[in-house]
Amino acid sequence: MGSLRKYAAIFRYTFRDQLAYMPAFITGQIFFVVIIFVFFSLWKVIYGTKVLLAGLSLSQTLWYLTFTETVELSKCRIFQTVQNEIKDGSIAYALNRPYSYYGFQTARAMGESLVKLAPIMVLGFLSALLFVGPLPGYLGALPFGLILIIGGLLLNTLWMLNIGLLAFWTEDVTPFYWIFQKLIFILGGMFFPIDLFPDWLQGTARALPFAYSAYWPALTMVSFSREAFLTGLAGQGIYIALLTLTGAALFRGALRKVHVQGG
Amino acid sequence: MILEIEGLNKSFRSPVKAAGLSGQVRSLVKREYREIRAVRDVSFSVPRGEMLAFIGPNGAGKSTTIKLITGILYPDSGSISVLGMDPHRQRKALSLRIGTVFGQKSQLWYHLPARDSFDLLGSIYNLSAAETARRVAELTQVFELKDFLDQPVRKLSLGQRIRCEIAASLIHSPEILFLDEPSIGLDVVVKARIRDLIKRLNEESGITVFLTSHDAGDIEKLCRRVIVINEGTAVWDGSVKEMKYSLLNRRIIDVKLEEELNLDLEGVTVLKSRPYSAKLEADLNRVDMREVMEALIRHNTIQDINVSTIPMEEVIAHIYENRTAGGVGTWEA
Repeated sequence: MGSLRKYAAIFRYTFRDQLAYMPAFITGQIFFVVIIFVFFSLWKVIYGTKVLLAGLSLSQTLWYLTFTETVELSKCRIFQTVQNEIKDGSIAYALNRPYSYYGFQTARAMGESLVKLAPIMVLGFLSALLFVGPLPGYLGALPFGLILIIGGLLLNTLWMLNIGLLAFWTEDVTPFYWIFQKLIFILGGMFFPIDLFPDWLQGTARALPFAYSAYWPALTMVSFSREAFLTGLAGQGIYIALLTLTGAALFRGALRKVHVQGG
Repeated sequence: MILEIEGLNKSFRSPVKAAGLSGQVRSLVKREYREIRAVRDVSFSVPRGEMLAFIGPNGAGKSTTIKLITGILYPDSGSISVLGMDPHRQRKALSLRIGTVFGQKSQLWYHLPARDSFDLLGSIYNLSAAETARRVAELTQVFELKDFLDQPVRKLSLGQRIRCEIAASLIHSPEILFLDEPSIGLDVVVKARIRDLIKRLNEESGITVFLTSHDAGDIEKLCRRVIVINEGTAVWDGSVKEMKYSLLNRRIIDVKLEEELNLDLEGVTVLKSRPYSAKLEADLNRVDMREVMEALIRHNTIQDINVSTIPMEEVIAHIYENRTAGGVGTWEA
């Protein structure tokens, strides 16, 4: 596909463009260190004298949360951009360009997300190190974990893109975003590892798409296994494909609606 | 002909929101729709190299027409051919041959130098690095961008930015350029500069320009032909100059006098009268200029006189305000 070059270029230039926001972004992420500290204090109480909870140590759990937060905080709120472009009609101009709107926005959002990812990874590393000490096997798991973290970012981007496209039908899509975000928080295992869930919920939560944005990447980082990595990767692949197909269908529906009801 | 439109019609179905609580509840169950005829039987054609103003009040059907031309919408009936293509079927192929500038929305990456955005657009339009470089060099010269091409776009003045925007839309050497409010927010000097550039571009490269603007100056200075859309109908398609004369064939006469104005003539309205000066409006469809002059000279001692046409802005306002009247026939010459 020759057009891949196009999207790679869009990604690259957005990445560079967004670098300008890096200093402000890092300053804003002091918040992140505070969250990690709160998690640390909370989980210390939960653990009490126990060494392991559902197979994870306090140190592992805190590192786990650092990674789920990393995916969450690196995301680009692309649904707002899409919603605005639909509302002010400027999407019409994007449709007159030789690229897929969907592909363009994905490349752009990923460019922005990856700019955010680097400092957050570093900050997360430093704060977790400060509170609970080093994570055994960090460097070995990092290449695999990073792949899944980036996969998780892509999943989130596609979710938000699809949510943004709903602006063709509803006034404000933010509530959909909130619902999605809460699903990631709870079912995706962002606030507590899925391993702590009651048994009846664990299997379902692991299979649902939300876990592939948070749980699987973080699990691969803190308790690396080939199976966890491959499960995460395969699941991400499937859900990325499904979300892309959904997005394409939404987009076709949207164009039909514009055709019937006007811009 | 680069663009041919024949008997274009496009209607939308818009949900009707019923009033009151019971109405709202009812509309939840059964939605009622109102049909809006956004474009009605519009036909026109544009030869290659023409600069055309396409104007109309907000909601008149302008942007619907442009969406039809660029293939985002397809017509209920009628035919459109743009560069020999069916825009709806060949939207992507067409997009490689048209350019757009949307004055209110930038296509440049804010923190990067304009040069980077140009390179990116080169990739988007499938140009090779060498082709892009050649085009950027050309456009840099035409639009005189050399001094700020490597500065981040956020540091440019609005005038510089618009120059970059227009250049950016030309990277892929489009054959038709859609300019939507290109001079919005610019000061008089910069406006004139941008107009000169667009004019030169059109003369030198032969690009067809489709200008949408509410700025009378843009229309008068750039275009010879204007199409006015109102309530979905093309109410005027002809020369800009002629529009002024046939739609609002009036003159404003400013006179300086030695006494108070003494004039009573059918077709002449006194807009303002002071002891030593007056402002009149003569409707040349009802009265001859010669008669006005004769009457003035016969009954008054004139010190100075100045006759001017109605400013373009007023002509446009007049057309827009007459929206319910509809049709060219309202302003019979």
